[in-house]
This record gives sequence, C-alpha cells and structure tokens, in this order.
Amino acid sequence: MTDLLSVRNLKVRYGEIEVLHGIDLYIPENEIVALVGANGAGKSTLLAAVCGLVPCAAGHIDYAGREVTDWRPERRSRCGIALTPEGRRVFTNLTVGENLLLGGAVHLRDGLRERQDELLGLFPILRRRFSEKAGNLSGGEQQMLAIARSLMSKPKLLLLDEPSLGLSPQMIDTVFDLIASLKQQGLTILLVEQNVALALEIAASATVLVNGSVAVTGPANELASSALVRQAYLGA
Amino acid sequence: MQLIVNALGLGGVYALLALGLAVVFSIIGLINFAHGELMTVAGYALLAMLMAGAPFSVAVVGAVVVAILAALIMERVAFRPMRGASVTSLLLTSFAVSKLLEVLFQNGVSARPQPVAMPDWMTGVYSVAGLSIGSGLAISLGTCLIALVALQWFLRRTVAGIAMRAAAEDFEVLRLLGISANRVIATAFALSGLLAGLGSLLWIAQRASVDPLMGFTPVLKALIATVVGGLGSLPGAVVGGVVLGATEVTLQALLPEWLAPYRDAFVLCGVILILLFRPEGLLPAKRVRRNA
Repeated sequence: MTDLLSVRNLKVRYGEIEVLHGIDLYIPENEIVALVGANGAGKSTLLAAVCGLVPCAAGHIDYAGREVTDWRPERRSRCGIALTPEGRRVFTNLTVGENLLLGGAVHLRDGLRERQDELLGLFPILRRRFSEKAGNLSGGEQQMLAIARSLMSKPKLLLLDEPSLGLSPQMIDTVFDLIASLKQQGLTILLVEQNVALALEIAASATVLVNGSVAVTGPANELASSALVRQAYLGA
Repeated sequence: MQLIVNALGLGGVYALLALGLAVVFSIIGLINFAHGELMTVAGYALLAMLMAGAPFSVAVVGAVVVAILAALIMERVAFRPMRGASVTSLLLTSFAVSKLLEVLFQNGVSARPQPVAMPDWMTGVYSVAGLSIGSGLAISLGTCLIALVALQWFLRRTVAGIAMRAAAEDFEVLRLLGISANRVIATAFALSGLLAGLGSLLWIAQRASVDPLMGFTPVLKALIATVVGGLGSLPGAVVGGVVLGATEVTLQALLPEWLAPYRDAFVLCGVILILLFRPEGLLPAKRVRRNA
C-alpha cells in the first residue's frame, strides 16, 4: 500500500526554539492514523506543518507523490489536504450555510449545492440550523460544522485535531461513528485525540509524540496493549 | 430636520472613509494612514481629467478607478512585503507611504489648492418639503446610501464578500479552506480605494478645490470614527462616522459664537467619554485570532 502522506525528518522552529526534532510519519492511503501525546508534545504543530501554516526548518513533506514542503496552505488545500482545527474555529459571525460555502468555494465550481446537500444529509442538525449564525450553535454542533466545512472540498486527506474535546459522551460516539464511515468512503485520516483509548480503537496505527520527537510508532492494537502507552495514557 | 439632513451629509462621508479604514484593519491589522492620500490621488485624477477636457461623468468614474488602482499598487508595493509584521511596523510603513505621496504632490504639482470646476447642477439648492437641500448634499446622501447598500450586498451575497467577513474573524482558517490570502487582501484594498475615491469626490464637491493635504483632516476624523465605533468593526465604522458627523454639525449649529472655535475640542471630549465607558467602541469587532 502506498503512503498518501509521508513526513521525513521534519523540524519546526518557533523563533530560536526547536519544537519538532526530526519527525517521521507515514500515512497509508485510506487508513486512519492516530497521533497521541501529552499537551505540548507537538501534535498540533505537526498538523500545522502538514497543512502549511508553519514553515519547516528542515525535512520533507510528500503528499500524493509530490513534495509539498514549500507550498502555501491555500495550494495544499486545493490539492486535497483539509484540517479540522482544534477548538473548531468556525466563523461565528457567519451563518452555517456561509461556513459551508467557504469550505468548498474554490474547489467545486458547479457541484457546490450537491455537495452541500450531501453533507447536510450526513449532519441533519446543520440542515435545521442552516441560516443561523454559527456562533449560536452548541459546542457539539460547531464541531459537526467544522468537520462538514473541511469535507466540503472533497479532501483526500483529513487532519482532525481533537474532535472530541468538550463534547458530551453521546456526541463523541456520533463523531467517532462518522470518522469510521468517512474511512469507509475512502478518506485518509490523521487523528489527534486526547482520548487515547478511543483513538487506538478506531485507528489502524498510531504514533506517540513525546517532547517533539516520535517516541514509538506501530499498529494501534499493539500500542494499546504496550506497557508504556497503558501507563502513560490509558491510566492502567 | 434641516440639522438632521446636514448631519447625515457629513456623517455619511465620514462613514465611507471610516469603512475603508475598517475593511483593511479588520483583515490585516493595518491602520492605513495613507488612506487620505488615496483621496488626494482621486482628487488630482479628477482635476487632471477635467483639465484634459474629459466630460464630468467620465472624470468622476476615472477618479474612482484611479483611487482603486492606487490602493492596489500601495498594497502590492508597500504593504505586501510587510505582511505579518507588527502593528507598529505596519503603522510606520503607512506613515511613510502617506508622507511620500504628500511630498510628491507638493513638489510635483503645487502646494497651493487647485480649483476644481463643479458643474452648475451640483451647486444648486433645492427646496424639498420645507427643507433646503443643496444638490451637493443630496448627491452626498444618495451616494453614501447606495454605497452602504451595495457594500452590504457584496459582503452578504458574494463569495468574495463572505470570505472577507470570515477573514476578519480568522484568516488562518480561511487559508486552510484554500482561499487565497493575497486575493482577499487585494480585494480589501480595492474596496478601501473605492470608498476613498467616493469619499474624496463628495469632499471635493463641497469645497471645489484640491490640495496635497486635502485627505488629512477627513481621514483623521474617519480614524476617530472607527475607534469610536469599534476598531475593525464595519457596522461600528458606519455608526462612528454618522455619530461623529452629526455631533460636529449639531455643535456647529448650537454652540454660541464665542465657543464655536472650540467645536473639535468638544467633539473629542465626547469621544473620550464614549471610550471611557465603552473602551472597545460602540459596536466592537468580534475577533477570534488573527495571523496572516
């Protein structure tokens, strides 16, 4: 199986401080890979580097057979990389519909309406609140909107940053069912998740970041039973 | 009644200029002091075209187009290289651009005001429902209204407009959705150029002359209007502009003669009072995080 995304020896600096020290990460096509680690380990920075929001100090990022290391975020998005950012970051002053529109505005010239209908079918709650300001939605609804907005562009690679944060257990189930069904539809997913047990359940493989380096990487079921991971993240 | 009409006339012009400042500020955090020079550019373009014998309507459209182009060039040459710089650096850059253009006009054309011949129909006074309305004032009111409605339509109904509203809230996420930062910023500048051009024409219509410093006072007032309204908030800019214009006109009319020279001092005291109680302005902008 080929890798849709491969990150090789990636280093990222914020000013003088190096926060990622040579990361290697490979994401096979149509798989879910979980990225776990403590707060400040560099998970969100890694996602930001993959979609081009922070520059790489060294290393390479290849996506769909092309080196994208120096591409701007807009161009990466147009080629099928989408990020659902931590904290949702929907445009609160815009309506649900306007948020969705912007998600696919540059990717789909004609199929916008169809794509929107498709996603509203997937997220019925958004259809009901279509004309409302996104700021009036509950946290869970905003999370749905944030995911739907990233899916509008029909991406190939979806980067999900903490999709369960702040959601009720019921809503978390809904979101994770959705993630599983997105994989069924052929999407490749990189999932950053606080809830490590849940992430390892759904992912094929996982990478653990510690202080900006890869501590361990391997099949999810092996990690779930490894002493290191159990001790550090599963509270067992 | 008469007072209200006059107040709206001045307030409308301030509102247009304040909107131009707010559109740019809301997206890249730049307070563009060279906005006044866009007005000046439009004014001299109008003058040049009239002197070259162009019909008035052509010269008016031409002046606005020149202001838009000037704003786009300003962005490309001066502000794009400074993208992501601190607020202070951006501010200083805009001061530099402003002074540069000012000196160019002073030395290249003339430091003295140049008369602009306005057609007769623009200087007439009409009586409508017991109010005497100068046609300049009527045009001014009409233009402001149309501009505001058109801007509202643009921001609500077009993808570019919706993207601009989104950019004011969270530019980074907008880029993640594939929407080009350069294009959104250029659109913002073009819009501010358009508004400065319109504002300039209305300003000239009431004075019938252009000079190298003509943009300074109105843009300073517009800046105060944006601060009063809430820096970076578009509705705030409109409200701030109208409030400021209305206050000036009202004070002008009501203050006894010996106090009239202190009108601006009274206005600014009012501004301080508003900011004491509402430091964020009357209609503050909502901003999540910004990083262009």
